[in-house]
Amino acid sequence: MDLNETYLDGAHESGSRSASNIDEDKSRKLSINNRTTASVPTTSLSLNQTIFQTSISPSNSTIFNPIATRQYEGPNITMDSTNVSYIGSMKSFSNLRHSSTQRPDSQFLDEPTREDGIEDDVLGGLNNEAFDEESLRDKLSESIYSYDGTPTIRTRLRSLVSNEIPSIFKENDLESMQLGRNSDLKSYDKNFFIFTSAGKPIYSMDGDDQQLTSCMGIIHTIMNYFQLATFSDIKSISSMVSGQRVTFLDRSPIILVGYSTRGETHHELIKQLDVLHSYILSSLSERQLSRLFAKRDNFDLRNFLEVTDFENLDEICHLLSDRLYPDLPFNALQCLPMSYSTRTKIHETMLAELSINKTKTDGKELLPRGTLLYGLIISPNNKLCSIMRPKGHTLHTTDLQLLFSLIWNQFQNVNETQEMWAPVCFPKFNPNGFLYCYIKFLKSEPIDKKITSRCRKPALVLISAQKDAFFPLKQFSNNLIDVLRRKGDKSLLREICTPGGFTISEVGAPLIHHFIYKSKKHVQYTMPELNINFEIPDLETELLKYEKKMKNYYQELHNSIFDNDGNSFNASILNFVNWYDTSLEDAEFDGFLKKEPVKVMGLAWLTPKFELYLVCNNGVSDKEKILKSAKKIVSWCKRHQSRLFIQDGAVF
Amino acid sequence: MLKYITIFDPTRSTNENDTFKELLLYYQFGNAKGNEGITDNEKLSQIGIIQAVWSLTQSFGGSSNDEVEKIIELENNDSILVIKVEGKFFICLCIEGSRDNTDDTNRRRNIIPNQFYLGYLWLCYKIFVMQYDEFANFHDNDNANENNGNTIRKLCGLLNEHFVIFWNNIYLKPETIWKRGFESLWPKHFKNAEFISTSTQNESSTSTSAPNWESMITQNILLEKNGYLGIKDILVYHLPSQNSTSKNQLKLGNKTYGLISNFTTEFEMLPDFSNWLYYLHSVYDELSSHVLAGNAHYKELPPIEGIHSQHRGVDNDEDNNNNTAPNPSSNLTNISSFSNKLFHNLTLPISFALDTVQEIGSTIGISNSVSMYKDYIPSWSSNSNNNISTTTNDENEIAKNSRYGFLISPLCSDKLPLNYKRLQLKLKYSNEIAKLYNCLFWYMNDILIVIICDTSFEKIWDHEYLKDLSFKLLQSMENFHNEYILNATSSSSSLSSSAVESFAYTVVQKKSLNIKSSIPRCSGSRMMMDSMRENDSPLMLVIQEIDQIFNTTNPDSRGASNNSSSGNKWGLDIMGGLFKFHSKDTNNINTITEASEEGENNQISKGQKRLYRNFLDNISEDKLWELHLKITDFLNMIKNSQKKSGIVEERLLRLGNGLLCYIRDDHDRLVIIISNWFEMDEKRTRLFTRGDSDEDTLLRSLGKDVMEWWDATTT
Repeated sequence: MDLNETYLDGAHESGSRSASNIDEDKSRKLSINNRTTASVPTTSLSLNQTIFQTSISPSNSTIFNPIATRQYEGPNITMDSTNVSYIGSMKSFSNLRHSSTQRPDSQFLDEPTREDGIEDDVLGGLNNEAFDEESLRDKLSESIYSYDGTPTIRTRLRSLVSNEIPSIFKENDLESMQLGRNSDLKSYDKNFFIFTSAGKPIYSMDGDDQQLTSCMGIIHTIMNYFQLATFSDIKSISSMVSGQRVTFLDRSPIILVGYSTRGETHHELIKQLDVLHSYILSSLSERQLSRLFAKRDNFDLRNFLEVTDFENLDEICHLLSDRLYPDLPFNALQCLPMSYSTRTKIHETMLAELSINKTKTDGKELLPRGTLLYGLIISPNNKLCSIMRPKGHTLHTTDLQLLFSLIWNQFQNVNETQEMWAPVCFPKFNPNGFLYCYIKFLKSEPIDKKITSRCRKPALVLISAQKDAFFPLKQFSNNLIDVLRRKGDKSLLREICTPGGFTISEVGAPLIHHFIYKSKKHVQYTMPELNINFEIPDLETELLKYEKKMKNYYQELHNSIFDNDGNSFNASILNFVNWYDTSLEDAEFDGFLKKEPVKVMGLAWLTPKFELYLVCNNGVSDKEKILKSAKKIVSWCKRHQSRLFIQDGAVF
Repeated sequence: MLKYITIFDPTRSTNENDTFKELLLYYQFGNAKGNEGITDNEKLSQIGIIQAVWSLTQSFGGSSNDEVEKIIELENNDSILVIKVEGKFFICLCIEGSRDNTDDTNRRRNIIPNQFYLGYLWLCYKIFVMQYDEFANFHDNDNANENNGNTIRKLCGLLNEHFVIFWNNIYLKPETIWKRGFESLWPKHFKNAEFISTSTQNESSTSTSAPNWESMITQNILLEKNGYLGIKDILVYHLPSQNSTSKNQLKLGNKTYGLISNFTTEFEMLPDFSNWLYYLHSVYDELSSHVLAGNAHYKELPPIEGIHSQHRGVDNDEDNNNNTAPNPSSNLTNISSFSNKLFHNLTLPISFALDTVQEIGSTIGISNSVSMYKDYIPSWSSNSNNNISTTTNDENEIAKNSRYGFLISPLCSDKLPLNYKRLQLKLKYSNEIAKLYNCLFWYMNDILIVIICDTSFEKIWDHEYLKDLSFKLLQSMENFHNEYILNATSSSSSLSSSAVESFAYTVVQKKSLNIKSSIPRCSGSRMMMDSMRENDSPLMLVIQEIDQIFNTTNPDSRGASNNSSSGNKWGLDIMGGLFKFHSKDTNNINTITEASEEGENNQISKGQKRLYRNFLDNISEDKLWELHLKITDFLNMIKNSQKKSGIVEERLLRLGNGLLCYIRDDHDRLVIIISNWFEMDEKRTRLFTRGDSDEDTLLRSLGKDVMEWWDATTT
């Protein structure tokens, strides 16, 4: 029995009768141990570099005295055992409760008894005490991550997510780039440039002006040369040796150039440039742009763009290059997971409200036909919650992505009492005209400050083609929000405002760290929430690092089945990727802890119906088990597809 | 299609008025367009823009030293490939892409990936360095004595000779690149042949009785007192014909293609040297004295009837000899329009041989040439049953059945240029500076042996010594042939029932720079010519300077009397298996195979097949090319990988069409294994993966035979 963890403390032993005897013994022993050393914080190490530090603070030791002990017992112990994350399982007690009854099967292949035992322990305790789930969750996470605040090696080693996986990628000197802000172009491994056909700079992601001017001069010369000499635009410059790639996108009167050494394909860079171009269009519209440049070729667009435009471009570039942003490479949107009935209710409410508002009151049509084009409810973190659209019309993914980032970047400091009326050009819908967006942020009762403070606010967006539709839309919005607040068991509005999501442990796919599942039919993707430890120092940097790591993993996986031009190698592909480190064979100590050998496996699975990318926990190497888990994920996603994806929306 | 090639050195220009000095070579492909269409100014602007591209990417970062190659792609599918050598010389090749955007898959299939061209660009430069010198050693000033006459003017001349011929050959025969497939992705690496000894496999006492061929060469040639220290190295290559048009030839599989062995570890230019031979072999199909001496190149001919009738003459003649022959060329003569082209390519080796023979004949008397002429006529497979019955069981007759002799040696006629007597190449051995060495070439059937000697080694001018050498080599090669190729005596083998390997592999060693591969190459046959060749006119192999040589009607009598090995009066020869002598031999093997398939001589053929062939040998040509392209794509993606050094990356790709591809990239090597998962025995693999350890599950899932092979290669 290699059970090294128990979630129980002495106070709850009485509630854990259902546990096996061995479990009990073990937990008792541990808790005794813990009591004897109660004043000393114990540090323990999980197999994957996760540190749980438990210090027993007086406040919760009487109620709760959790021990998360994972003893390190030799190099190979429980390598392929279930690395179900501790926090993950804590956060999803309810799911565990359900799932433990549902799954007598061998989900946890290796140690079924062990896992079941733990669940029983935990649940037993839960049932007896009848804790409020949320407060329990809070307390647990508090006690796990409580620390004395002094930055020691231990606190430094505490990981962002409960179950960290190692990075196997070249370090991009994130810190030095952020700290140094060296303006030399050479210090950036990725850059975007935008300039006019006449060679006037409009925007660049990084670099100082002087260098840029000369650089853009050369770019301009090169592009013009090829246009004149070969009657063809230059597409890209690449070097296999250094991995450099420069990609050119000529959208006269605007020219975009992307540079990267991060291994992106030509196709990916072009897509990123296209987003930047779309952003400029969304702010100006193509008609306006061509009018500006028709008069004067050497028009300086910088004078015309607002400060917020540059800020938004910065944000988009940052999003594209440093964050985990699967929307673009996977060309899909993420939705708020929500039960089918709730979503249907929301849709029904929207439609009902629409038809009420259409009917004439006092002989005056409140919302004449055609006023409202699209209606969107965006839940926290830019997940689409529901969409209202005319029959036969959909919005392009890029347009929605732009709208989301616009709302997030430009209007986040607007509070819930205010409302916006903004002209936005949707370049894929109609590059020549503006649509008008009524944007209102939604407010609901505060749920969890910790979480919501980080979240992007939920919003209601109503899109109209008419310039003067503000007041009808405002009226409609007020009515709609009102109804949403009243309706439903817990009020639909509250459902919308809850940052929804699921964790990897809910899916019941052992050994998997994280995955992205894209349903091709819905053009939507879904992925489990990260179990973020909000208590660690410099959360933002850690989060950024983590996201970048995951981004790298997914980029590698994605590119392992797509070629340079974005075509998949075949209609259906199953690709395992395995990375492991041979240089760390010898025991290497980091401070006082031995580093775990790096062995990460990923899977990219492409079929005509779906795409699945997953990254396994460190140390997992059994291909068959991973495939089994992958199949579980797929069947889970299919089973829950009505919850995970918006099927149709409210069509009127 | 190639557009132009240019070589320039930006450092040669000091001010705006002498930019033309930068240009060392500019050549436009295709006769029709000519060089008139482009002015000097345009040339200069082209090289200027390449420098601009270079400085642009440098301003983004990356140290200037490791930046040696760039691919510039245009929207119209043109690409410009640039490499930078010796720190300042730019070599730049422009390729015209396909303008056909209609059918994506079809278009892709017809495109040669840019990296393949890039590989050849490096190869071309390296051959130049080997044959002449580094660019930087050619100096500006005209003091000829100081620089051994290496002036820039001379450099330009040599560049013109070398680069233009090299790329013109590829321009006219793009199949050359197809033939090498994705192996050209590693221009610094070279292919090694793998032969599996029957004696070690079977522990058969009969075959071990013969002395090992390698020790024979070491003992009798390298350590022998006449040759000691004079002969620097001996390289043994197995270069079977890539041309699959003659179906009668038993192909041994790509595993056996390449360098078999050499006898020193210090030869640093082995990759370049080997790749040079492979290039020649794939361009000219057969290596001949002319080819090796650098006197041959292709020339495009306007489609004149006369030439065709000449070839048809050959064809008819042959048909008269063998009426029952399933001659592919005679079948195709009816399809008039495109057959001309095809037919010509099929018969290229023949017509070449014919040219040689005729020219020799014209100088030394017709009567002699008639018999030779017959020797040179290929005898297609099924007509030579008579020969087989006599030769099947007598391996001692290999020598008689084999064609062998020197291709380049001082035995050749004095009338021929010095290059036919010895080839001087600038080679580098470790701990020495690069210097000139004399190279002699000897062959037996498909085996080519290169003898590298010091220039001070005078023995090679002694004809007796050479004949002795030839005899010793023959002895050694006979043993080699017996042990590795023929398997004639090893009838006691007890090999498994699987006739062919169910997987194919390529292993690229990053340190020792060699490639071992059993993934078959494309043979550059009909399919490719249809898609690639835009010009309809047939090709002619031109032997330079041959007119001047044969102006003297004085036959070299001594050469004629002495050179009995191949009955060749001029010391000129052509290696390979399309000719009568060798075809006997191949028929020999072939019929053993056929016979055994009927159950008579079971063990040998199965052993042989199992050793050298795999499941990919039978797939069609275009499928094979697609596979090469796919693998190239996979490899590109793995090259893009951002992993840290020290991380091993493994991929196991399972495609919907049945292709199973395992790629492993680690510190020492790159391994590619191709298999077909439709045909994988599910039970077998599962049993195997449920093994004792979790290690290498990706590799293990490929099946037992792969693991056996893996264990054998890694230990």
